[in-house]
Amino acid sequence: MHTITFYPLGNADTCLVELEGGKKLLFDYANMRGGKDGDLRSDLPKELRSKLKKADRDSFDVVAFTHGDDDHIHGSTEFFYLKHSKNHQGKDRIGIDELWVPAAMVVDTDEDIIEEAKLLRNEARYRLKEGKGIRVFSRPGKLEDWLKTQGLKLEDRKHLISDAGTIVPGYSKKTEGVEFFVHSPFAVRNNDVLEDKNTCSIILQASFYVENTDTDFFLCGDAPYDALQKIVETTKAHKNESRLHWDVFDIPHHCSYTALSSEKGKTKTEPVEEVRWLLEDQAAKGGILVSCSDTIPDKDTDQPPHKQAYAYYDDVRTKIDGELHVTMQYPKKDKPEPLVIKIKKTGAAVEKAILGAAPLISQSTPPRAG
Amino acid sequence: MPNGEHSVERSIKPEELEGQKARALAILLKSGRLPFVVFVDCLAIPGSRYETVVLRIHVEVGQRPVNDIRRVEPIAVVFDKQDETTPDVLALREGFPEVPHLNIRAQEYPRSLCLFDEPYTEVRLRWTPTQFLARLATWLRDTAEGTLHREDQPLEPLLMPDDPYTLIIHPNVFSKGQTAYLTSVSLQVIQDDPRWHIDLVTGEVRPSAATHLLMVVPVPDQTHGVISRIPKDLHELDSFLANAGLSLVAALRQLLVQPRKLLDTEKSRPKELGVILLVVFEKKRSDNDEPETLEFRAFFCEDANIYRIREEIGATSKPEKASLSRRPTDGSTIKLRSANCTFLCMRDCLNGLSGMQGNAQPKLMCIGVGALGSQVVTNLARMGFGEWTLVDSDVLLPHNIARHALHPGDIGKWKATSVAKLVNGILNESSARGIPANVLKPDAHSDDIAGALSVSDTIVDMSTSVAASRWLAADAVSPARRISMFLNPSGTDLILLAEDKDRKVRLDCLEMQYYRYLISNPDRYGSHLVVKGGGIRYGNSCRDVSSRIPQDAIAALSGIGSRAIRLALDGDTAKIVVWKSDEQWFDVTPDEISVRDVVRLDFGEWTVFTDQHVLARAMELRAAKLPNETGGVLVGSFDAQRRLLYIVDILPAPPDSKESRCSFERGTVGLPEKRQEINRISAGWLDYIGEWHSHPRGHGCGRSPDDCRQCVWIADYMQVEGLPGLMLIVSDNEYRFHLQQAVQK
Repeated sequence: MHTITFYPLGNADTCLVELEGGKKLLFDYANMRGGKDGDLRSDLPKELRSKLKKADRDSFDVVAFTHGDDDHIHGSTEFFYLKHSKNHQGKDRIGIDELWVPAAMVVDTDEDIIEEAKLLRNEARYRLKEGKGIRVFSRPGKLEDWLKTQGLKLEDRKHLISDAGTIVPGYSKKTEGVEFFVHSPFAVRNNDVLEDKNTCSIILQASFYVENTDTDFFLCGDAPYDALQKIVETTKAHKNESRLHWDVFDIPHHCSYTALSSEKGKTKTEPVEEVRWLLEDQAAKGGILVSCSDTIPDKDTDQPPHKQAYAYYDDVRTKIDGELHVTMQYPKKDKPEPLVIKIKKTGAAVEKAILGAAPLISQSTPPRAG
Repeated sequence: MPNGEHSVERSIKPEELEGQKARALAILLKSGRLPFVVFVDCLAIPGSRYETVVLRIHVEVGQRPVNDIRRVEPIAVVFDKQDETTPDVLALREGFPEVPHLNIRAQEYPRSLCLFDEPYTEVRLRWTPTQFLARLATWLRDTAEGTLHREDQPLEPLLMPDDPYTLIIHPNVFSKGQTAYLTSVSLQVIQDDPRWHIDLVTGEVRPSAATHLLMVVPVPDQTHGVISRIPKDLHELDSFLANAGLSLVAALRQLLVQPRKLLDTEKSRPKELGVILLVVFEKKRSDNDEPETLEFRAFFCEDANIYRIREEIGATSKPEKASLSRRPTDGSTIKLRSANCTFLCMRDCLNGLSGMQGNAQPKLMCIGVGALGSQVVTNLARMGFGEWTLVDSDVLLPHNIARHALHPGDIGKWKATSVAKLVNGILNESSARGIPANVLKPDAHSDDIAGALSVSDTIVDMSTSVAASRWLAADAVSPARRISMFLNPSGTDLILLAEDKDRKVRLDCLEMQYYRYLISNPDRYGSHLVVKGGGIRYGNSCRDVSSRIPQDAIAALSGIGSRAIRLALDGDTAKIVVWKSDEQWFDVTPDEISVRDVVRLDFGEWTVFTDQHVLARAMELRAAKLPNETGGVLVGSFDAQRRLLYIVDILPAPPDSKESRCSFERGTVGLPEKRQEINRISAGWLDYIGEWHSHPRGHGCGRSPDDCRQCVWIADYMQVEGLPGLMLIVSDNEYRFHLQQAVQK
């Protein structure tokens, strides 16, 4: 059995993929929890440490940062062991066996990015120079100039670069039980103008394989609708439609309408056709949609999650007889818990364990006794 | 089940439910505290014993479930207010699939889920609403995945009999590839219990002794999964089997026409014979698997003899007569009473139940079936282990009942033959044989004993007699490996001596090494051979357990003993093990003693046995004192009858000895006390047996004139015991024993 775990972190993303063979791949790390009582968000470092401890490990096989925004990297430089910086090498820091980043997180200049992203960029650069422990998602040519400035040849680093439309090396259905098909970043970057980083985020289809059946997980990062549009067009053009099939769909950008259309809509966001096709026609019956976000508001709001987008996703859920979950509402608003999806030969199923008092209380810290 | 046809069920509040469990469930659901479950309603039917809680549950189900379980399932839980029967869990959705682990009900819908495989009396103790819902959730999840029935779980029954009958049959009634047949059998009815246990006597019997005709009908290739209701008449059974691809009526017609002999030899009798149908399903786990188990279902034809069945189904030996008889019916007038089938437990079955491989069985000859022997042998027999010949010259006396495997009904009978009978009863065989004889004085049974000795693989001595053990070691003519097992006098410790397969180390030498272990560990084994209440029993009686030993101790140690025999026979090496218990809680710890290679030296009339321990120890003591000589006393034993001397241990020089480069003079300080202690701990078996000393570097082991004088001196002392003088000399990598007969004065 493979599992996918989404953590309730408010409007932020962290998703842990654990393969049957023991490999652990973390997609984004955003420790959003404040110190205050009543903060319902996961204590992410604690959760992840306990996962690793159970497996008697101190590193992840892969840590992927889909892009460098705060809600995908928050606190990561306090948690991970950074090879390039002595100040970030404490004994109890968690190792990254292989770092996955989009090209932007290598080539971006200081003025474009936040402090924490700089550190991750420097880490990525360090690893790329070293030539190990790194995978950059990009059209290879795009990195050529930067490599030149470092006195490196593209030819010598090509094996560390994954372009859109390819399968990520090192993972196969046969041995690891999963393959990753790269949808983004794809090459539309204009040399002069730095586009919104979200369009350059990593977008993957993870296809899990259990006893001859495939279960597909579509990982979108913060993709806006036009990026999805392009992905759908390109994939169709290559007759690769099966690469857009999904059993589990990671709703982009905390259930923002911008992932569906340029128009929010009054009660419901109507998606552009390509996105509609992706969500409705490519879904497995009984598919699972997950919104990594705050609880869905009753009112219209500027910031995601947008109730109009949610209304559309709920229509999709009904249509495909599936499930729609919001991380901060799962299983209940007043006590969100990590959402675990188990992948077996019968497909993906959201874990719904009814626990008795003893297992629950033994996982919790009681209030102080007098 | 509530029968609400004319009553009106009423929706009530959770608090109004009468049963504590129903109320707890409804209140918990309504509180909304648990995820994935939603309260729907509570229903009561006025005057009914039952009340119902309705809920919806969100199921952990993937996109491609094996069984059609939905994401949300409506469920009703019907509680017995008196909490005597298990709450009935009903799937309310129309079209809920037919899956494994449903309860059989008169109506197909709503389907009733079987959540627990324990009886409700057990489940009830730990039933909480949360546990119940958690179980419901996993039942639905696993059913969706098709994994509710685990790979390691046995196959589900095809039919579930609801009549309280059990038929015990011999396993040879059906073997693989068997076709349908008819046989006459004799039934013995045992009605000890409201459940009728019906004993089917082994195999076919003469028609004159028959009480029933048994028709065996095999049904090949059935894939397990869904349990069906048991057919109640011949027609229902025929329909059920028709689905399984077999025409029962056709099979019966054939059976009942052909074996005319069986029916006609005693013309008056068949009418009195009852008829039993034994249907044998060959079951598979899935359509693609090979058959893995058999399911036996017996059906007694009520109030019907063979002729009536023939008429009913239109089977008759003379077709022209068929037209005269009543028109054949569909069989629905032949009512059936179903029975569970169970088997006589044969050796294979006993092996299986004990988790043992039923390999080739060793031929075991057991000398002595007293307290320990009878219990060890029956333990092993219950595991289907061994083919037994039992030798014992005693009869069972009333006091033996305190610690013997035999029944009081056997009092006055030979232990050997009675235990053999018990073993044969356990095994359903006749392989065990008892010889009521004393191996030391077999008299009329000499040939029997000799025969058994020659064919046995292993001889197990549990006779409590050292003499018998020594006879086995030295005299008994048999290629078999010998094992001896006995208790210490207070019954707290068990001792196993097992020869190696090639008999390089014999039982008597193992016994000596065991004594050496006792004297070498005086703190632990100082009182091992001492009889409680003081005094030491000498000779044979040290293994005699007719003292005050409780059966619980014998039971515990005979359990260990039977395991020890199995393990000893698993390996080829010699073993000495002492299991020592603490007397209060009977904590038992085994001490395995490493067996040393034996050295045998022949001196004409006398034979000397020693082992590597003694020689190594002498070398070690010599080396420590070089360049001086040293020496001391030899500890050992003798067998006066067989002229055997055993050198078992070596004592270092007493502190007042005089050791120099060319001489050694043994002192005496502490020696009498040491000698006394050795004698006490070994229950008299070990004592002073001679002297030893070392020669300096470069000198051989020959006797000097002084040595010769000392030999004579020793022999003179030992003469009063009828023993020779014995001296061991060790030098560089060499040793020699010198035997000196006393000089006649």
